[in-house]
Amino acid sequence: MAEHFFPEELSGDIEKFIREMITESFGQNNDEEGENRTEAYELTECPSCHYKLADFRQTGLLGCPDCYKAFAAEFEGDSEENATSVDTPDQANQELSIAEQRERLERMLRYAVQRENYEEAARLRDQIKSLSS
Amino acid sequence: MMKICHPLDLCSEPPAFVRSCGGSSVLVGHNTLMEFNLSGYPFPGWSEARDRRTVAEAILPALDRILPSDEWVLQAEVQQLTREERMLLFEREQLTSTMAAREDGVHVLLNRAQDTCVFINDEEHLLIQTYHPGGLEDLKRAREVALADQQRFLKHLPVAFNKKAGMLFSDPYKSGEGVWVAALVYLPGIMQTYRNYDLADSMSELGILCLPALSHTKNEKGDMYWLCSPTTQDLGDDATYDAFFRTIHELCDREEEARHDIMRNTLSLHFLNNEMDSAFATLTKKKSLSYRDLLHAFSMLRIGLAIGKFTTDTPVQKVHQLIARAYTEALPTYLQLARNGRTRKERRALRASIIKSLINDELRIHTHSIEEIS
Repeated sequence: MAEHFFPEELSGDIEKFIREMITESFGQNNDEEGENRTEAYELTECPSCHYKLADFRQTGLLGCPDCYKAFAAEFEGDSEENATSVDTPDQANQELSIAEQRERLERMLRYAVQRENYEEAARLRDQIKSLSS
Repeated sequence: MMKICHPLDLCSEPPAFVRSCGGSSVLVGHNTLMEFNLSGYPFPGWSEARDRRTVAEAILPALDRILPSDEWVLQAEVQQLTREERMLLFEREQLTSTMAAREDGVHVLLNRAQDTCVFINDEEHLLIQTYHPGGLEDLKRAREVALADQQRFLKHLPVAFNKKAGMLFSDPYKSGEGVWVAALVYLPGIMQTYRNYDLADSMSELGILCLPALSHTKNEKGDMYWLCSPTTQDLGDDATYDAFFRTIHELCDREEEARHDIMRNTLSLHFLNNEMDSAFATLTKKKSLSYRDLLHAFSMLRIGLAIGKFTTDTPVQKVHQLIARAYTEALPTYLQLARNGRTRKERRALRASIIKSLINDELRIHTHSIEEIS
């Protein structure tokens, strides 16, 4: 991948950057039990097409329509947002509480990291920081 | 499922979107994209050939009922097409790269006017892409027509749909209405004024996907772009489209301003004049012409015709038609299949000769000095 794709602060260790970014945004989880739980969750499988959540995390794509139900926990935030009725983009932002905005940004951050769009990810991380301060 | 005509026969006419690419208007046209999946089947990217064939068998009869089948001039399973035929369709934006690479159970249908392409088992089970000429108001109407078509499909097929998320897609961030619109814009003024401007980057910040039109690699730039409406998830359908239409409107205004500014600013006009002179020399003098150089030179030719740098006795409509035809006859695979240009060197020489004859014999263009146009 071309070097200019990444923000200047990244010069080099991209993995370290991603780790730091995720830790900053979502908190560290060194708990072994937690890790096991995460591993089990990653292995959740769609009963219809046998697609795994880990596959989705890797590709950003789902296997079949039933995956939406099988991995519902992954999309809960989306469904709530979809139910929000708004008239204009500005109104949309006003209507979202700080917590909702943070949740939305975190979801966008996860998506940006999945898509390896680190520039966008860094921008979103800063926005999350500014919401917290 | 059979191939009705040879893909090369399609080349007697440029694809619909290219037919409107000869002039200098900013919003050249637009297309609507309607996508959906059938419930109960894996998405094409995760499915096996058997599943894809079953999906195609379910979709094709419904398609026959909704869109008249006698309209199709090409109706083929992609594996029936040779590699070159696939490339030809891909270069004419009538086949996606995903489809060109996939095998069993993948179908492409193309209507007589070449303004509607149907893709079965592309990234989703069904994608219908329809090109429309016209301005911003037509763009809004086209979306409504696509939504009405979608309702007709919903009556005939078990579409994967969820009350909360809307239409379900392999990429969950696409879920929602299932209809997208894309505007085709010609922006030579902005691109000349802001040399390092990254349109794709700034559009991406607004959630708008920007793809260069007519070009197939990053380095080919003809100042024409497809701008595709963003996902409706965050703002809802109407608010998203309002924002998208406003953006297109603003972009068109800025392009008009940029063109006026160039004409008012002596330095910019000199710069553009040099570019146009150089483009004209490229088109009329070069013995070998790459597709990349052609795209840039044609962009300069079109803007030159608009501002009076170039004039011709040929009627305007005919000029637009000839330029559109030249765009498609200069495509690498067309030169390879129709003109027997086996090597890159041969194709470049053929391209140069076709364009030279177009400019000198058919368009008969006269050039003017900067004093005459300013």
